[in-house]
Amino acid sequence: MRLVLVDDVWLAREGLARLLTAHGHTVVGLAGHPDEVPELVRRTAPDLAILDIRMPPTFTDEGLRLAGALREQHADLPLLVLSQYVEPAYVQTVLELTGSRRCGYLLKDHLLDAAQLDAALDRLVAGELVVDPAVVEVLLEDNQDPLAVLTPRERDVLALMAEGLTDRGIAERLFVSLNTVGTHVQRVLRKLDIPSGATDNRRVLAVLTYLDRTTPRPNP
Amino acid sequence: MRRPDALTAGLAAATVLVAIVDTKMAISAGRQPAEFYILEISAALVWAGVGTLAVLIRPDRPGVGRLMQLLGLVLMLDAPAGFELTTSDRWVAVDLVLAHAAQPFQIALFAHILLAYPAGTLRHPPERRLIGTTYGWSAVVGVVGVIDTVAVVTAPGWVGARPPGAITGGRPSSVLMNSVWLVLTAVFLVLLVDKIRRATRRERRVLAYPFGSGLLILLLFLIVLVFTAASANIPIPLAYLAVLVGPGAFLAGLVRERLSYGSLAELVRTIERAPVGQLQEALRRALRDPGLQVGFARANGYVGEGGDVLTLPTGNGRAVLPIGGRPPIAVVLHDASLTSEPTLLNAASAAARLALDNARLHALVQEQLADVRASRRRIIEAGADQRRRLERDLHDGAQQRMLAVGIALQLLQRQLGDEAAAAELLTEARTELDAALAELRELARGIHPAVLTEQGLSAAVRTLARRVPIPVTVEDSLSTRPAPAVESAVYFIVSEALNNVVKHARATSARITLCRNENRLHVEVVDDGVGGADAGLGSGLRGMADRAAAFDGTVSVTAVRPSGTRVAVELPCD
Repeated sequence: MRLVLVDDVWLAREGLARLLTAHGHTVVGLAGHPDEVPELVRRTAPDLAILDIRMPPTFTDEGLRLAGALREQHADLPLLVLSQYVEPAYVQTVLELTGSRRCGYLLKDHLLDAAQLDAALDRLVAGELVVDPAVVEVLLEDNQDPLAVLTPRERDVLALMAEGLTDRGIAERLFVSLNTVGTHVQRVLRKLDIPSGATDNRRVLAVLTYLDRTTPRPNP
Repeated sequence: MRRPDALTAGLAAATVLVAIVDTKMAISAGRQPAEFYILEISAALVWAGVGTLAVLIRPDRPGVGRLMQLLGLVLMLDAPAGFELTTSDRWVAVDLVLAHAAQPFQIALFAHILLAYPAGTLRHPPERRLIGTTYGWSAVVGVVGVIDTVAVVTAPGWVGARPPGAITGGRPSSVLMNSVWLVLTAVFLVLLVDKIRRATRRERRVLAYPFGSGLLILLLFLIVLVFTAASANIPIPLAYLAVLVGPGAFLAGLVRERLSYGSLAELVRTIERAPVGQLQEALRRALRDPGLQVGFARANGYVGEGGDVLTLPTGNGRAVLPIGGRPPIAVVLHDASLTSEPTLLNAASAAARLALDNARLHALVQEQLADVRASRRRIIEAGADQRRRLERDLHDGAQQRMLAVGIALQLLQRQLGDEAAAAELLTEARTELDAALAELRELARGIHPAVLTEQGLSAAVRTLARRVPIPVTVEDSLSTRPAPAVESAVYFIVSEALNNVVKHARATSARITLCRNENRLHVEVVDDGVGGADAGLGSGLRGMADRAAAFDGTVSVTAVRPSGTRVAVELPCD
């Protein structure tokens, strides 16, 4: 697929470009500063944009804000935010800024896993959400008490739901039938009292919100 | 007041004794109405009494009081000279001779009192010469009076009539005598006017009492004289008033001038405690010198409390009192009359020096404290800054390079394809690299979490809470981010507090509260553990307190009922 890659660190940018090229993708645009990106995306019309979080000018969360800006201009452009931090707060922000649509949050070193990289890109283009397993693991650990009601299998299903996988994706990952996954999902949602009507993307958000509830957002 | 000394008591007793003799004489042989004698005797008694009082009140300056005592005694002695007695008693004759001997001295004494008032000493040679001459002349007149009186009382058929009088005279010699009195009076008036003219502001306030009341009495007499057409006697009440007011005014002046030696300690305390800006006022009050000024030593002279440059006076009724060392740290410009009170000036100067030293040391300590505070804050801020920079360096340097290695490894893996042995080694390298990246990530987070820099204290504290193995709730009502340095300090304090909870408290849950009240940031970490934390123990708690103190904040550790510990942090933030 055709990709735009945004990272201010030259070493990472060129390395990732080579890696992605080796994976059979075409890097149609490279940028080192968020200001260059909207124009670059408009010109190259990529299938997906990969954004580093920490970029100039303030080296804080430019990548997150860039994701929000791109989402406003390109409602369907899949956006993958790369980070060095296992930080649920960032995931929440990414989901909020992109309307929980076609977006992902991945640790940079997980790109080194060829299978994980390919899967993430494919799922994003297919319209799914992608949440780094390491972040989900932190959230699950944080909720050991409430999650004690789940069986180990149900816990696995919950983790994959949180990572943004669809029922089909979960079935493939766990080598079980779609029906079995459906049953597990319904049971997990019921046990945790998460609204079961939500499907796919909105389900991811509901699960993440559930897992993050021990740490409420600031009061307005 | 003190117990009277022998001289004071003796003079008072002598006056009373003579008063008794005078009274007996008046009762047994007086031709005038009783009021006349009462007035004569009480006038003398009032002078003696007020004089005694003055000596007792002002033991430091007994001069004027002593003179007034003497005047009282002399008045009492010479009172019979005007008694108009009808008697031929020989003892009365002796008394009359004595009375005429004493009579002229009342004038000398009165002049002496007026010129010596209020210090009790004659400061100028002309004054001393005049008073000396007056006493001498009084002695001459006294001798003449004695001779005349002896002649009268020894004349046959004497029945108490007055002698033809050296003073009231009719003889040629009395003209000469009166001329001398006139000259002496003229000189006296000149010197008196000169004294008033030379008096300092402070002295004039004291002089005003006798002179003012003297003028008042004179005015009253004139009015009465005008209305009663000169011939009539002075009305009795007015006479009594005059008798009382005269000496009373002298006493009032002395009391007013009195600088309380009895409460010298109090004076020292007042001055010593005076803030530097009010030292001048405290000294003015203590020394009763409203014109007093304090000058503080500066490189190019002295400046007053208001910052005005002071010129040190020479003469002009002002005197300079240096305070503390050489060169002095300050000077007091005071009324020259105060130099006659060296004890008092020394005490005031010592007290002022204490006050100035206190203020100087206080300012010095404050200044040093401010320096220490600022440097402690700079150190903490620099530490936080370095941590931030170190984390960024790791993020942008080592982490990216390791990532690049990982990418290279992965590309190599793709190129090698199915070479099993090499692929195995590559996988091993990848595993090691993943672990190294994870460790590096943890290290960077420990040094300074990016989420603190990028998303602020609230998000960073939530992350901290998440990593604790017990449930931790976060109540956060911060709507804006505090300054980065404050965020850093609070973050590491909370981190340390949670560390303690996990390590020592055996708690099952904890709660973190973040809120802002006006310009104060309040942070609380409360657990339900076994407690026992003490701010005085352990470097961890000490470190928390130090971090808070660097921003003028406080950390308090208290026990919570039924069990647990509360760590409360409060620090200013804008």
